[in-house]
Amino acid sequence: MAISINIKELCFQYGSETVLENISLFIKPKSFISIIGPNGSGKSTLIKNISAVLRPSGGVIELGEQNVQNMSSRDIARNMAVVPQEGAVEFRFTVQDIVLMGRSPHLRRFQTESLEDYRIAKRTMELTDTWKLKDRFVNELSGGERQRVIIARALTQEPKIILLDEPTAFLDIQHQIEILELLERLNREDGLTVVAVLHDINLAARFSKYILLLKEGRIIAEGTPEQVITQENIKQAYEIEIIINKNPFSGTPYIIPLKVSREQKIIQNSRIHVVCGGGTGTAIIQKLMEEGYQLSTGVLNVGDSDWEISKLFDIEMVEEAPFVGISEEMYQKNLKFIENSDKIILSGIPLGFGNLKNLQAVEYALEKGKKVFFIKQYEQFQQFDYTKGVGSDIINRLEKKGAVPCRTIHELIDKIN
Amino acid sequence: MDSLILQKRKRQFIYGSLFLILFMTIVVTATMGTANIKVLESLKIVIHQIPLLGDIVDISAVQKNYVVIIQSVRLPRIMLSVLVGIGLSISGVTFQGMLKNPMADPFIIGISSGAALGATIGIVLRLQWAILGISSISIFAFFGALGTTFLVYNLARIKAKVPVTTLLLAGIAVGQFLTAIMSFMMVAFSGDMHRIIFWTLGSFSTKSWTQVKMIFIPVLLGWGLLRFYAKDLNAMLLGEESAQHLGIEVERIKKILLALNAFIVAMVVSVSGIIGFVGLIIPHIVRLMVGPDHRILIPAAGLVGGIFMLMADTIARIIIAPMEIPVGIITALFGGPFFIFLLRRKKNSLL
Amino acid sequence: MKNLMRYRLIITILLLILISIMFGCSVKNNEPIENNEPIENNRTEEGTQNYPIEITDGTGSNITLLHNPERIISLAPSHTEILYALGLGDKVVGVTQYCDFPEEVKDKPKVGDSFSIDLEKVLELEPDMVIQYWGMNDELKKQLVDADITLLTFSPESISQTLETIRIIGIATGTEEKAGEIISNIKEKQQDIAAKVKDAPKVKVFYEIEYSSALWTAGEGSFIDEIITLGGGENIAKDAEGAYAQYSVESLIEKDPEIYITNTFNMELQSYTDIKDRPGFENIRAVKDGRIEILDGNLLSRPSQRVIEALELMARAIHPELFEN
Repeated sequence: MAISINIKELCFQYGSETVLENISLFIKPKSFISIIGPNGSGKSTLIKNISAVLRPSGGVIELGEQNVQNMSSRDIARNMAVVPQEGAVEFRFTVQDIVLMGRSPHLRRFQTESLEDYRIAKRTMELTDTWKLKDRFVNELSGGERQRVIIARALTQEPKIILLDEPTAFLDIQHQIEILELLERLNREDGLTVVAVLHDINLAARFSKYILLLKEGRIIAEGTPEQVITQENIKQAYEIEIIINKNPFSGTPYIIPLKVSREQKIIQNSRIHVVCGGGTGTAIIQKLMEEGYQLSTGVLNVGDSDWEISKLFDIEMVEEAPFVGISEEMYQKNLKFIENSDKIILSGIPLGFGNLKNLQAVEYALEKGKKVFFIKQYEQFQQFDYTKGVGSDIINRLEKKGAVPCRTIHELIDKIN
Repeated sequence: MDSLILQKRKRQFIYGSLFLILFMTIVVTATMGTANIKVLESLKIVIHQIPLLGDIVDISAVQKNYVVIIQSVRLPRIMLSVLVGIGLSISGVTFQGMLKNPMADPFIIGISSGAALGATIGIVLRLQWAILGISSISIFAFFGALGTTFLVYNLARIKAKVPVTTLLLAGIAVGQFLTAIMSFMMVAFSGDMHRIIFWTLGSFSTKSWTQVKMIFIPVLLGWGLLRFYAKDLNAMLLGEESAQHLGIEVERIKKILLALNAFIVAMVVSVSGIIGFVGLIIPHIVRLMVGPDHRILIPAAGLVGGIFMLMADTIARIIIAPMEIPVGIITALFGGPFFIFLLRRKKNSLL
Repeated sequence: MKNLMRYRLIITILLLILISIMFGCSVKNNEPIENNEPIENNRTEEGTQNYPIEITDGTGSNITLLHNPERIISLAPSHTEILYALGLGDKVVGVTQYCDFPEEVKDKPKVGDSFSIDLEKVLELEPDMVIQYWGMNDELKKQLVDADITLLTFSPESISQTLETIRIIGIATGTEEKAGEIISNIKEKQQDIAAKVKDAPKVKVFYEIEYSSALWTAGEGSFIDEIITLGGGENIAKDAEGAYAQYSVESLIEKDPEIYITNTFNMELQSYTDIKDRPGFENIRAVKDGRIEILDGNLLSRPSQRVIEALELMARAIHPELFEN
């Protein structure tokens, strides 16, 4: 019998401080919802209101048809399990003892655990990879092991809904994925409703079907991962600049945090034109922006990550449609940009027939007497050259004509300054 | 499941052996005392005391005053010390679990100060009456203890919740305050000072079956009731939020446990004065032996507490015979070092 | 800037005033009390002592007295009694609130009790001698010394110690003769009693100090023990030690005393019949025979010239047949 959670205009205050304001959400049975948001946005408080540990200052939370505040702790516990943020237990209970405590909502006071209860506990321990720890003392476990034990205990309650507050906080990568996969499976196969506060946006995007983005106690976005995870939303919530890629494995959005949004000031006099592509220019562009240079880039293919970052930071750019090679028109534009700049940088772009013209543009720059810096990577060079040596030749020529080779980006920046 | 059966066996073994030890200790200590009664004779007298069984033995040959000594002086004292030991240790266990504080003892929320002040008032007022053989001092001490709990509880609670830290702090504050009043009274009525001090020192010396009858049912009943809430206590050790998540009505349980404990301790203190250390140390010792699961801990701690108190009182009344040492001194002298010894052997955390 | 300087000046002046007040006070305290006019010059025969004299008080300290004390404060009821017995009633200027013998004492100014002393009051009364039973803390002692007050300490626990106390106080106050009288009087009566009980069979006695929390008695070396023995009795609690000993009820019952004695203070909380109801007591000879004696608590706790009355009281309780009058 599936149960929904209906949150109606929930408000919560700690004393005079408003922590949650006007939160309304209907959680259908079998949902998998992640709640994300910066620290202090009220995520934990929301979970605590749903689990009835806290009492709302306004609004109502209903579990099924009933107001959760009117239900006994036992009734709530039979339907809903909670995995808290901190699971520290300083007592010498064995893991098995702790997991078995998950059966208490289903037992009468004097009833001792039956064989069935032990079986259920064994199953959840196996699911969370904690069966091998069953006789260990819980206060001797690592943070991650303990967290898994707590999750096992929650699952032992055989709940219809599970609330988790940052369940992956102390887990190493394999266990993070394992637990979320487990929850996903239980959600899919057993219809377990999962409501999880996650701090890792990428994990939230990968595993949940619905995301709630909170900031300062309000919902600023909700919907599918694609709907919620946009540059604007993330910037608004976390005040960071990101690039959104697609996770090649799951097809879900994958964010790369760039930097904290701050005003970029142009303080340097010289203009620098960066010839890049394929993501090789991203770091250079960022660093140069930090240094306060005025930049331009080209020629970049639309959709290329360097193209994205240029778009993001409003950098003047020569762009070309992808996969068509560099047209003459764009080539000329590129040369113009070069003429207007004082220094030219060639990033470690892989060399292909498609972007040979970029190399030629750099050669043009040298002839015009511009200072040219380029990233030279010796050993890997051959792999980057898909032009059967034509590109490499040009590079060698560039060097002979006075382009300054740099082995790392750091070196490059140093030399430019 | 093997572990199921194993656990059950383990529990039965623990209870069985503890009970046996308690029984043996009672029998052995019944033969010990300052009066020079032969072991065989004392055993005869003890057996004769047991209803039904008793008639097997013939004690007509035994000196009358020996019979009186064992039946009216020694046995009630033994039974009383066992009951007090049980009461103090089970309430110590409960307070430590409920407050999640290894330093908690039965008197932590000011109960001892309240009882002492009550007794002081009773002594100073020089009231002559006694109800059912219980002196007015005992009655005042009892109500002093209960009243203090009530006061501390109300000071600490915020609407329907009683935050643990506030409870502890209020208990300390109220305790100090009441002790100050008691000290003032001791000086103001310095003629009664020694009598007040004697009361607070605690003793089983002049007690009779009346006192035993008085606390017998409350302590045993209280013991059973506390065991009833053992699972809740286990869950509460995980933290109040987690306990609530597991379906425990945390605030209600706290109130019940508080009231239950206060009652048991008030009873115990009113008959025997304030005997420290037992309620603090025995729970830890037993926890080191059987683990933190209250389902085993509460019965076991009670039994160990009873044995310990009985042994302590026996030492108190024998060691410098015919003089006696106040039993609270014995509990401190032996309890402390023994606990340190256990701690060093196990080197584990306190709870 | 000017404001700052003025401010600093005011602060400095205030500080100076404060410091001088403090100095002034302490200086005042250190001055010997010169304006110490004796109220009345009682030049009795005995007042012609050769001062300065040296005496040893109860703690074994040697104390030098420069002149006949004229204003005496007593910090114990027993010492008060002694002073009055020596005829020094007029010289007593302060007593404790528990001093009640003789009657006149009730009108004297009170300075506290044996445990807590109102130092201000003491100094206000300008005594030249203070006699105490229990020692006081060093702070208070220093204050008295600084005020040039002679402090004598006597803590008699037995008859002989009490007589010695009377004797030395006599010397210290120039009332040696009277002291001698009292002492010989007491000794005579003591010998009388000894003679009477010499041939009587020793009666087994138990003295109870308190029972309600635990059984407390007076053991060997205590005053009670002494007067029991001198009174022709045998203290069954002889195997206990000290003036306050917690005693085993079992031993009490086993030793089966013939007479059970306690005092009026103790009995304020209980009645006669309560003793009979106590567990195990119904078997004690003294209870069965109704030989329960309740003696005047005051008398038994005053190591003063009235020790002889205490002894008489005890002897009478133990051997009533020998003291028919």
